[in-house]
Amino acid sequence: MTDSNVNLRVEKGVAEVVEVPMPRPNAEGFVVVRQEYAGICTEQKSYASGFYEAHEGPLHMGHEGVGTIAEVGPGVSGLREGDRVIVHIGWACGGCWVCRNGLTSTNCENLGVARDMEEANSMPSGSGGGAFNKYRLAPAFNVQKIPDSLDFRYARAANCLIGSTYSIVRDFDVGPQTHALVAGVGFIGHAAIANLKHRGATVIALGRNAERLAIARELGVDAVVHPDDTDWLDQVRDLTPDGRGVDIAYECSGHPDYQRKALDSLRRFGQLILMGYQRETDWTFDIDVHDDILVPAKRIAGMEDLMIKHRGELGELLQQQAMQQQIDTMIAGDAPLSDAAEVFEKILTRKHGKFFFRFDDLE
Amino acid sequence: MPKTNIILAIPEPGRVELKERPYPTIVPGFSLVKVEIAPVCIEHQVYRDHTMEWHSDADNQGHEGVGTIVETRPGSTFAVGDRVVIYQGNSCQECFVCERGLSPSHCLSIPYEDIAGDQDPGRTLEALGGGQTIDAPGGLMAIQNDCGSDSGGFGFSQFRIAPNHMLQKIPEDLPFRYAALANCSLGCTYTAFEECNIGVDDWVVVAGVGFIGFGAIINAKYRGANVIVLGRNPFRMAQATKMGADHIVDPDDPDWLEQIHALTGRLRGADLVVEASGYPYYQRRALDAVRRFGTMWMYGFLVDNYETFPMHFLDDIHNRSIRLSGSHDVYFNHREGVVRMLSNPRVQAMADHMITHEYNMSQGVEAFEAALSKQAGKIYLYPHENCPAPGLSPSLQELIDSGAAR
Repeated sequence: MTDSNVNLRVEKGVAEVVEVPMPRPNAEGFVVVRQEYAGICTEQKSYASGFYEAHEGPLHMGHEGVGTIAEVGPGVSGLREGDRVIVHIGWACGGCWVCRNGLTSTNCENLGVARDMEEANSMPSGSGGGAFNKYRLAPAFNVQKIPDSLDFRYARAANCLIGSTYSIVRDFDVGPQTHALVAGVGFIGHAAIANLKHRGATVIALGRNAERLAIARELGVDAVVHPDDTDWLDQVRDLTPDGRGVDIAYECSGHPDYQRKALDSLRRFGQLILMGYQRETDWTFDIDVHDDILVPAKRIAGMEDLMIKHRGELGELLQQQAMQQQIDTMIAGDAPLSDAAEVFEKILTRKHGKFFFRFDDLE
Repeated sequence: MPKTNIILAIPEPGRVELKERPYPTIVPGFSLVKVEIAPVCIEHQVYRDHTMEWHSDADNQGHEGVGTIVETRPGSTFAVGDRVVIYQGNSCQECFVCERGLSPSHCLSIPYEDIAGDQDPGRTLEALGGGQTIDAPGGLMAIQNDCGSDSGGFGFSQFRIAPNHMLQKIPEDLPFRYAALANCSLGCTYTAFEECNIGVDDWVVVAGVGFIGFGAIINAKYRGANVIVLGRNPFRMAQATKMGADHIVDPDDPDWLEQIHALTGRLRGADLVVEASGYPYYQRRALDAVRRFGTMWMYGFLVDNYETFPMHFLDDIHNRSIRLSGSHDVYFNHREGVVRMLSNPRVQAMADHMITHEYNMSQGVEAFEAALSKQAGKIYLYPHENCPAPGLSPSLQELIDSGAAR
């Protein structure tokens, strides 16, 4: 093992590979993972505007990843050097009621972020808490072993793609009887479509981006409705039994226009799932409690992560050939970390599916 | 307007008779339906040895059906010409079972606690002041009684009375032939799958495959689940495979359970096991095949040489946290989903393998003999003698020709 690690510094207009110290798992319950791929989720916004979410900073970017365990720290059982793994998001404690109940790790009551992991392991800031590092610190509780038969190219869909949209479809009784709307067809919309089609639902995509809708069609959406059509709501309702509206709507953009339309598309007692958000804006979603919720008896929920209790079955799903084809369809490609600026620019054109960084050129 | 109603009676084992009865009369709250298809459920057992359920007797047989409404009364939301499924029973619409949209055959008005489960036909119901079992509230005879009619409460008749809440309109483009599966085959098994929330990638074991088992297979495949059939009869296994069963396990193999554990992987057992035979031999294996926290759902009950099923509550239930349940028919709440399933082209293709025989009602003997041959699936009777192609289905004929029968 080398002594140095690489990280991606992201600031407004800057995305450069920098050398940082190699992280060591000094704290109880940690491992170091040599990453194969790390998904790009929303980090292009920091490159575009300099905005960071609370858990981010110039040297603390990225939260997805798959790879091989390079070093196992004290107090870790069941994981060994050389194990191929998925790293789930954040530093979940494993002890609070959310973790104990197998719910989502990013909703852990004691959630730690990249900086916390470095500090706990007595490592310098930027040395490997975030995912845009070749070597990365990961809490063993959030690491999932995968079988040799699961290629990293498909395992990498376990984070903010098939994984982050899995539980919110799985736990809302979606089946062949369900009529669902997906509002906004970025990569989260694409992944929601794949999970909904996997469960046999009829899926209507609400979107206007031609390139991304083409991917949605390839993923098997049953109908596409343009949100700017004056009769968009009639079009959606006409696709549902008795014209009553959809059973469930997945809002995947974070834009108030789509949030409003997703809510309006629901049948009575329908369920709105909010998955999109745009923290860098001051947008709000204005709801009239009486007219929007009480009278039509609609429900709203939100979740953005895979439930811990679903990790095993997700691992099996990612090995299914049909799902792998869907993953191939929605992934635009991968690129070395050194091409980060170029990849961010490409993502900002909003014409593509999901991108990943790879680390094979860096030693 | 015809003045008579032709019904099918089974006056004694081995004999079938078409009888002429007065044309039915209805009162508000009921509709009169021209029956297009009357599926056979367990009436072949009545034909075999007069094994009766509490709600039937020699002259009153059949409880499934689809047809067209020919008469309504004021206040009805149905209209003459509506195409409908007729669900079985005469539930009260007042008890909590009805109020919550559960199963009509579990309506509290049916005094099950006073009806012994020993299949003794015509048993006197002391609790009902000496009335006969067949007249019990919630049953089919109660429909005739409520309407003051001399015919029409039962399935094997040309014209049938139905309480309006036991009718469901079907879409114009859903053929009667598929809609007729809404009762005791695809419909009643839908309820187990819906209650257990079975979906894609789940594992289902079907133990004992007649038309209820076939219905479970199709429900499972409709939902994208993996299906293991536990069965021995090679002909039925060939039928099950045609319907989409993924794996067949022979319950006589010494390692049958290991085979199921190998197939279900980390779950070590099935999410749902549907027991459709009614025999302790299969009941035991069905229970053993359930994964921890899984469910065993029982449909089979009316069998010859009836025996009870011995269970050890600690080993079988507590230690494995298994749920046992059973039901007869479609929950009110599930009707819409059933019709949507029956409208699915994939389901219809599977159903073509399941519907094995269609006959005119005058061919009742052939229908019951076919059922008793154990080389059958769902069997239909056409009370108006308009069966389009009486006899075996192309799928069944193909199986027989292929030598699967030997």
